[in-house]
Amino acid sequence: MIGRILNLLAEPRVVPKIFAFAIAVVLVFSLPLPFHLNPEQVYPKPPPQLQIELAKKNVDVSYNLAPYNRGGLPVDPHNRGIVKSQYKSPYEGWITAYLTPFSQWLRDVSYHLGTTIVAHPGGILDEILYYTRGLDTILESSILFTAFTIASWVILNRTRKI
Amino acid sequence: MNEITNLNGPIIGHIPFMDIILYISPFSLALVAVIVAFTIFLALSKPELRSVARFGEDIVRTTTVEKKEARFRRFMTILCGIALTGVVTTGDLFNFALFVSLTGITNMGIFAGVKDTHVLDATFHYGLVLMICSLPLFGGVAMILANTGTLSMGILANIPTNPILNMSRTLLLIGAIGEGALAPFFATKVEMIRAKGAPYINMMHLSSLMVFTRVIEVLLILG
Repeated sequence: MIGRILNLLAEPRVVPKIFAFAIAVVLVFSLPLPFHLNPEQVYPKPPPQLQIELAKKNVDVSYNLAPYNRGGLPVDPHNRGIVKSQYKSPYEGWITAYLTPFSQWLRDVSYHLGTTIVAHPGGILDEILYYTRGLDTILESSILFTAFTIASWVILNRTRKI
Repeated sequence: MNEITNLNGPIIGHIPFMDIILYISPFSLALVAVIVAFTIFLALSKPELRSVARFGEDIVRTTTVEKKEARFRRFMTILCGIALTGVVTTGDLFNFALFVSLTGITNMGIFAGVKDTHVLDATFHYGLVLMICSLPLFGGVAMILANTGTLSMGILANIPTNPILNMSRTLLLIGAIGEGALAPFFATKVEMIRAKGAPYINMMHLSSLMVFTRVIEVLLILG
């Protein structure tokens, strides 16, 4: 009996299923735990719905960058954007207001593309991430590029045509 | 800081590399020395020539590793060494998770170059495990961030533990077990280790060992 179970476990194709099941069990047990958010977050941002509602009331038009609007003027040390971070950099908050022409156009068009504007190349994600989270972005993309390297090598050097 | 110094000995220095605050203690210095020495050793060594005997035939074949394949696997081995250096020295929890997953994916890369059906099959299933366990790994880190508001190990060492933090630690452990191919995945590993081209395969054992050592240290720091 034990031998049969062990033999079953030795099959590589069974391993991911058992692992996924174990994770599911652990996650189910975590549901009833009391979960409180810490109010003193290092990387805070105002709730997006609040920003959009304020923008609709014409309180501040620049709010259609919600939830990433940090204010400030580009490359102006006296008018920095509001950026809070654990690991300090002297150039924090310098270019939080900078947008490429395309991002500017996106921002003018809609209230609801804040995250898209920030995340697309040439947006302001780089500023926020580089100066609050540092080289994380580079590390993350290095993982992605490693995966691409492996995949492209496998495809270029496959022995059997598909 | 107290628990870090209790576990590691006195911290010799910090390397401020933006947010990837690397700290050097006698403990991490020893681990880095092992990793660097082992990586250099593997990078300089040539792949083995393995003799394969078959049942029922009176033939012994010598298998060789293609130069292109060996070069790719050597590259992945060196990359894995770099990732491991990050794993053992980083002082930021999110970077720890990133480095651990980079280790996992380079481990997969070492075996993805092998042209052997059963090895590739095992590697595929191990890749599924890698994808699955990125959920608990990063989920645990995200729960720690949401609950304590920080990711710095120096600050986390002084925060007393609570049920949610214990839960996050469990998730982090499960994630690291999957990414580092620790105990329950030896079955998958054994299939993969049947690959030819021995020296590069040893990187996987080293990464298991280092991820194991480091994740225990991180769990003790959080607790």
